[in-house]
Amino acid sequence: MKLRDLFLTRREMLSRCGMGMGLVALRSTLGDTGCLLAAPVGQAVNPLAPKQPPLPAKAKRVLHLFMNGGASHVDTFDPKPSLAKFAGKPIPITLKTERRTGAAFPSPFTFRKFGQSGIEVSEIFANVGGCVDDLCIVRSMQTDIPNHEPSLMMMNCGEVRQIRPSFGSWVTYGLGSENQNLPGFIVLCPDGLPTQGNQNWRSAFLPGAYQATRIDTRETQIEKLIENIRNGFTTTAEQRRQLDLLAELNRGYQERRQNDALMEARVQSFELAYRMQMEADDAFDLSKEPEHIQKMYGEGLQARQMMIARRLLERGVRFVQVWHGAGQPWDSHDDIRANHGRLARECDQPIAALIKDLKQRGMLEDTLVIWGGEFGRTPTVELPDLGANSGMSNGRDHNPYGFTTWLAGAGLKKGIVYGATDEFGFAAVENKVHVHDLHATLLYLLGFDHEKFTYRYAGRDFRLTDVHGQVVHDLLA
Amino acid sequence: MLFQLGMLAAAIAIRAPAQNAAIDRFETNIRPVLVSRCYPCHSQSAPAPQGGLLLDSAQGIRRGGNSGPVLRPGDPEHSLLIRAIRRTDEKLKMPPGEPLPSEVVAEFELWIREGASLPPDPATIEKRQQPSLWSLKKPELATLPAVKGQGWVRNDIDRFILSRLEASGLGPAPEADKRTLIRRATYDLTGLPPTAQEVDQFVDDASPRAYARLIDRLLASPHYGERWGRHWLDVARYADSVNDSVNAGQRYPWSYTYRDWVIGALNEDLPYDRFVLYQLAADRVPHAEPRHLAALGFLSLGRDFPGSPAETVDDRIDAAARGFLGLTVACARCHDHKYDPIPSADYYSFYSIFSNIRQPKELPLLGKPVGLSPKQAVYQERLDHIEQVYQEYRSRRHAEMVAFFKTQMADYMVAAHDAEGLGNPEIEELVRDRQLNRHLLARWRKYLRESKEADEPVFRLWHAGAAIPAKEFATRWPATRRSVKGASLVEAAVDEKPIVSLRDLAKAYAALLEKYDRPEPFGQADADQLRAVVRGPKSPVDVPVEEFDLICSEGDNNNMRSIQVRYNAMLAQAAYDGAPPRAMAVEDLPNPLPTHVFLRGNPNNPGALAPPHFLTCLGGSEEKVFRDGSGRLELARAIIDPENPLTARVIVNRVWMEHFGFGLVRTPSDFGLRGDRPTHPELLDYLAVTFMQSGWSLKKLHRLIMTSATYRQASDDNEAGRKIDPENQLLWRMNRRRLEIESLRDSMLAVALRLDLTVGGVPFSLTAQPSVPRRSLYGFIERGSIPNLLSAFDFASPDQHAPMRYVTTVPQQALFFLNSPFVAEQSRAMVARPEFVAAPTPSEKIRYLYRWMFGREPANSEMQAGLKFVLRDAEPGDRASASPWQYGTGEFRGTGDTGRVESFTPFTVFVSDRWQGGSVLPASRSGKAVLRATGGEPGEQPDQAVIRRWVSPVSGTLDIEGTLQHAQPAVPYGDGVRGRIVSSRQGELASWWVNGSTAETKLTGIKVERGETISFVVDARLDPENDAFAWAPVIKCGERTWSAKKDFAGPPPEPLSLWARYAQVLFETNEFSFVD
Repeated sequence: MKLRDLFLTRREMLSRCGMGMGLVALRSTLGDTGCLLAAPVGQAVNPLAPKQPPLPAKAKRVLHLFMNGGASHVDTFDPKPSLAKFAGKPIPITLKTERRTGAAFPSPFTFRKFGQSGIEVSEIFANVGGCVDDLCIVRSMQTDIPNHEPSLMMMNCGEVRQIRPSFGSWVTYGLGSENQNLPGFIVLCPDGLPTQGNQNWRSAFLPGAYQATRIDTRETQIEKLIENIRNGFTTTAEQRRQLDLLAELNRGYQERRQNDALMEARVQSFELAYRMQMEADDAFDLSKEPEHIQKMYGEGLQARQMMIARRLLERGVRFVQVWHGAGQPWDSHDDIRANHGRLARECDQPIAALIKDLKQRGMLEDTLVIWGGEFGRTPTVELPDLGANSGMSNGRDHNPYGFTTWLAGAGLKKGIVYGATDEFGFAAVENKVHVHDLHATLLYLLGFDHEKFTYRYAGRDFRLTDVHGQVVHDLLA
Repeated sequence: MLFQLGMLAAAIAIRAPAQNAAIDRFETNIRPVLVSRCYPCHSQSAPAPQGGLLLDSAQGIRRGGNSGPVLRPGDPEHSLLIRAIRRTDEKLKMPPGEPLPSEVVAEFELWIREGASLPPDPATIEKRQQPSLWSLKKPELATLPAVKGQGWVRNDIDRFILSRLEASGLGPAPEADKRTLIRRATYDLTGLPPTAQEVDQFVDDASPRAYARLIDRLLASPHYGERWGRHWLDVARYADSVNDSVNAGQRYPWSYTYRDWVIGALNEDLPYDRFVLYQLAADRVPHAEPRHLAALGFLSLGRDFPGSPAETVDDRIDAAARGFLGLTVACARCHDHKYDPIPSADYYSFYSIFSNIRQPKELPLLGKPVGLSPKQAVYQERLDHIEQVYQEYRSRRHAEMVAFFKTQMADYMVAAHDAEGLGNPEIEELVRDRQLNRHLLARWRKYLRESKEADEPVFRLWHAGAAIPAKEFATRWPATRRSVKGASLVEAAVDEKPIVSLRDLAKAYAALLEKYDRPEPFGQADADQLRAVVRGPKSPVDVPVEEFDLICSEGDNNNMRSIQVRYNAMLAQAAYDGAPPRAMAVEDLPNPLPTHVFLRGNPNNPGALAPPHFLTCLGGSEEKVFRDGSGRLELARAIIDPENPLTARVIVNRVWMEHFGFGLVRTPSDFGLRGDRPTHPELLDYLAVTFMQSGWSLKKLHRLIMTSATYRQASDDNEAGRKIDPENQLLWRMNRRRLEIESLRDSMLAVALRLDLTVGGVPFSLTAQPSVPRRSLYGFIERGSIPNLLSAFDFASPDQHAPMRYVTTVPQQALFFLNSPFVAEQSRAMVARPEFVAAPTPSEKIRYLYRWMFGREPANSEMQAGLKFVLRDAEPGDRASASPWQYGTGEFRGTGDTGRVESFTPFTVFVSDRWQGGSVLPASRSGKAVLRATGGEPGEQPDQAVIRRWVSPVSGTLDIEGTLQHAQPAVPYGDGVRGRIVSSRQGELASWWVNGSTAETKLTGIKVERGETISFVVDARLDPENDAFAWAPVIKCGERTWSAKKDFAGPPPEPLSLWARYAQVLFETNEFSFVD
């Protein structure tokens, strides 16, 4: 038996993982799941086997709706009437933005109160507004840098430049996955990659098993969704015969090679793969959704994505991240009215439907839903930059100082607004929540102390939150 | 069970558990706060340490500062530190700036209440003393241990191993059989399986020298360098692209020359010290052959972090420090290494070395210069063109920016005045608030300062005005104005309008200067003095075009980057298409810049100077500063100095790891305190010393290891061993290993007789279909977007240095075996081998497969299982019924009902979404012609019309619908295309000519017979330019519909024969994937 063959042997467990447990605690916790004690010393452990987190958890799975490009908070979930008063005039706050911005730019959309909580939401998210009593809206988010690349990295990996594992990788590393017939961490993104590509969901120094499988949701054929899920040259019945022969040959070979867990794991993986072919088919087959459900989600790519997301979560996929599209669609430097209007039209109904759907299935109770982009947008209008943009003055620039992320589901307060930006929405001023704090809180809900959930690499114990982050207890129910 | 608990106890016993927890608390909760909030003033690296207090060492914290001790362990209430951070004391409020959050203060209180435990100070305390870290002591030859089982010993390695086994009451496993040995050795040294002949030959060779000869033969194989080169490429984080490449502009044009250099160096057994030397400093080594410049790819092929050079440098430091020295120097980036004796200053010493290098303007040619081939000449022309576009863009935008800055002169003059006496951060703020350009402001400041020093008449009034405090300006200006004599033109301009503020004065200057901004000199001294402020080499606003990057806008940056991306893409294309190879070399900056420690790792927060020198724990010091250029050569020499205790140990450990599955030190890139200690320290030292004595020869090292009895053990399980040493640290048997993905893929190609054994060359696409049968290590490695095949099988991520590979088992690996076209392809090829086909009986065929795939005869049960599988009626495949659509090119001749498609050549290649006549366009037969689901493009020649052909599966009456479309750009060119519908029986049914237009192609009531073809033919007409078209007809016959778009598909997969399916199962077996 070769040590490095055995991902997560006991020894590696002890030396590498800091799941926030003393060694003895680790032993008993994992012992329950059969990962550690049930497997004799030196035995392979399936990297995606479901694991219990070290602390009591509220959330079992994560759904991250990523508004890549940076949705404007003052046009969606953070109304700022003062902008109308100052319309066309400079505001008394100046913060460095990536490009030059000018006067106050009131939102072209109207806000109204929704639900019993009476929280104001923009007309372009009227359907999501209908779910506002289930949302926990954080209006005081902050990140570090007003550029897409570092901010995407911060939101997804907790570090602006260096290569670090993504949030989803950490979660699948810590919790494994409940469905062994599907990947544990799935990214849905139609029509190409977002800015920074695979880095947004990479496993970095964590084992490759924790990297997301990205799926182009434009595709409808299962073989284009998951590589090698199907072939055109063998029938299922014939494949079964092949697998039976394989099992027989492997048995004979292993008779002389007793106690080799890795070989046994490999044998099992073929059976898993065989079952995965069916399961994947089923997970992505939206024709199986009844008509009233299809209607609820509506038409179009976003509806399709959200329905797939629900089907995956329902099947025990640990982490599903849904991107609006390739590149940075929400990056409305020009024409907020037209662009944000269109983008919200595409996803408002599907997102609202997804929340309702999770709720009616009782899944919202233990699913952690996150909505937001890598940063927000300026309340001031972006000025035409000499030689740069197309010369229009009806868009907004990037804003890392204050923006909105809303959460919903497992263990979170419902129908509340937390924190606030200043009068104009430029910077968070009340109960600021940095992305590190958000990560700390999300990990907490998943049953991890973010300071103790570590991985030893290159001589250091790494964390998702690096050396930062505070759990925001006020968000917790 | 008992043993497990014992292990736990051992793990904990390193430190008393309680103290361990307290120190952990210090490290997690206290130290980061000290680092970020206190170190700037209270650390050895602080520019001006305050109050004599140093908080960056245990010693310093305990000692306290000028006001005495800062803490009383157990008593937070009487600890000065707590008083300071609580801010209850008016005189002592620390740290400056925002107060520490109350939770943090509470953490400090708790830490002190619990005794204020501190970790020892390795870095500072041990700096000048004998290092206590085992790996920093020089390796020494220990006396060979005595062993009882002398008979087993083949060389000295075995004594070290056996003595430990004996001490534990264990014995070694028996020697593996010869078939196992040759398979193990061949994979170990070449990454390929032995051929059946090689196995037979070795098994039949009864000579005692047979095994030694085998090792010699394998070490002499050119595939040795490929196998071990790939191991090294993991260490060197090798990739063929810069970052995530969304486009070809990210490809390194000549990355492969580094990869090939590594392979060649290993094959020729270049001594390892030279191997290291060249990778760090081939350009500085006197008399080094120019071919070794390719080795510098080690430095140049890492990740590049645009806009954050510090990250790029960090990556180099990390790769070199962990790769060559097994030290995690990168941990010392923000503060002294927490565990190992590596102060932060050492990191920045390395930073100095690895930042003072750049890519030479022209990469050095490898080999003799040759003339450009016609193909390469075309590339050169295109490259020159892009270069020209780039330069034109820069000069145009540069002129616009300078003109713009001339409208802002007053703003800059005022800003320059306001910026006096401000620090960098404040100037940043000023520039941001006023939306100015930092570089231009710096130019204005310099200009005005110099004009003041020189007392130039033009700006005399300005400086006089600037000297008046702002509040008093209006009242004091008239008197000042009267008392100062300036240039007369300036005086006149200033007196034109009333001036009540410095800004007014600036505006007057700006208005005046604008008047004198004209291309030609005036020929009058006073006028030309003014002109010189806005034009010419000394002008602050007339920024030279070379400085454009410093004044350009964000948009300019994007635009220029996109042109550069095009250039890089073209360069890479030229390189991949046969441009002469070049070294991805680096060179030192002509004037290396001094480096400072970045406090807390922040480049904007420079601390003490960090001159380049070697690590202090390895004998480097500020007294031994590197002086040659960046210091790379001196660093390389220090690394390979035989006195250096690490270099040899680290590499022999890596070699051991690749032979046995894990190293003697199981953290092969971390020989520090937090890494593992060697399981056999004396053996590690023995190997390191012997290695250096042998002239750093890797091949001799392999020979030594592989001829040991230890290596030749069987991998059989054994109960005693498993109980006493479950992880096989003592090597009571050989470890069984799973093949890495490269070997796995190569093996399938090899046994299927498809493997192309060419060594070196430009990368190929691992995802191409049909597969390219080259060895996997030549596959294109796109950093950040590793092909799923590789990542599913634990390929080493090239993002960072990879100490070792993970081995995970996930179902995606099984899916690859079950369903990938690649495995199907090799299964087919396996049973197409001539000897297989010629084998007369099914049992002969099975025997043949076993011999080639496993190097052995099948057991009787295996034979029976195989026969049972193949000797049956094959089940009908579920292959879709043949499509009625065909795609190709041909020529239409004649007219009306005598018109016919004269020739039809089916397309042969399907690429992603289209059919075409070859994998590269233009194809020899069909030119640029392609067909997609919804349209296509004809070739240039008359016989290269594109034809979408429908073979009628029915007899009946058809309706055909569709729209033929051709688009013209704003400036039209070409003459459009002609579309025809032609029946094989009835001739031309209709034709349309579209040129920037649309035609409805509707036919009704066409009577067809089964087997008759309906061709949709599109030709280029006379002008073959701009001929892309859209045309996706739909054919209806009663209830049935055939849609060109919906039915469009690539070639249907060939069903596998029973034999091929059998071969596939053999590929899938554990036996094929594992090496005993």
